[in-house]
Amino acid sequence: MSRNVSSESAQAGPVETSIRQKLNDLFKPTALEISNDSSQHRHHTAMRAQGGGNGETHFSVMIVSEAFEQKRSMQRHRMIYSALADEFNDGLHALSINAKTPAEIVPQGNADMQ
Amino acid sequence: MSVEAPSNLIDVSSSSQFQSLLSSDLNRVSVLYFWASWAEPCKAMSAVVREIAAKYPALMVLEVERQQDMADIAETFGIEAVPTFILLRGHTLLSRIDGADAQALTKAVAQHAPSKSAPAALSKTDRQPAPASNTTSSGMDVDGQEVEEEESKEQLFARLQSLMSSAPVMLFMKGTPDVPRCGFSRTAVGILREKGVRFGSFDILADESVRSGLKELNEWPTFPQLVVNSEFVGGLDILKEMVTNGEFEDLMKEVEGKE
Repeated sequence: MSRNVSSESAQAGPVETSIRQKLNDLFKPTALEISNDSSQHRHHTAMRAQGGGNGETHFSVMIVSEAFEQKRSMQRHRMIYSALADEFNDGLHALSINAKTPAEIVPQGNADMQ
Repeated sequence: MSVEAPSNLIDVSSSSQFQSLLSSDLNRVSVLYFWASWAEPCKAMSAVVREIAAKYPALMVLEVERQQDMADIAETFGIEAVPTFILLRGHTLLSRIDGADAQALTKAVAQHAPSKSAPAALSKTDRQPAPASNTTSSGMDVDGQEVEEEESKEQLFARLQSLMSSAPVMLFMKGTPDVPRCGFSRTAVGILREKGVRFGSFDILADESVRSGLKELNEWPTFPQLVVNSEFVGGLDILKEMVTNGEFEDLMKEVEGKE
């Protein structure tokens, strides 16, 4: 059962909203999950110097899309990074990426996205 | 030349003084000078630091002596040895020089510090610093001398290539393998060490032009960045994937083959 709806984090901020929109538009994913990990990084020196960052500095993205067919991991990451270039210029600090094609996701009833 | 200590050269006596000095002007460029009386190289560098303070009155130069009550300041900046110099704009790290490298220090200061005749800075922003420009950004004259030339893009990219080639496996990371300054960098080091891989590393926090140059060269906005046989391989996620699917082992075999 594929999920066509991207899961929303509680209270998505502007950066997260923008990330979701761009990834949806560009990759038409069959699954997209975005998680905001920024609070885990608040204490880092660089973030501390900025008063902890704006709360939208570190994200994890899990995305499944046919757009990644025939593409190696590094290329997939680059596609995503270049889609989000503006966000990186604006304060997005880090992005963990898990990018798969639909064929690579093993169906297990509720697809295991980890 | 006056024998008095320049007024912008401050010997820090407490953490709270340190915090309030740094926070009082978030646009001001400061030099933090970590030193100790028992460290021979500091003697020569103290004179250099004094000269720099005199030459750049808009700069704030904070001398932090390595001793018990200054321990938490030193720890915040990951100071392991003296002398160490940290250049900040407000709280933002501009550059870091480990060791008594007068040339690197004066170059870094010239690159970032406002000159005597320059107006007080500039727009205030809460954003992260923009990537360092590879074309001349300030070209300001100081005492009639030209500020040390910025690297051209070609020169920078050539330097990056040679950095990437400085070891068969190179990790461009935040901090050092023994003192990583970021969880992702720490994890990458952990994986390489666990696999018994011999690797060189470069602390991109210590060099803004390498940091921004690599982002452009490798088309990769984040660190750590793993480079094998002078080719960019990927970041932490990719490293983890390659370990899981066996590609990493194959890659390491290629490395051994070349040694």
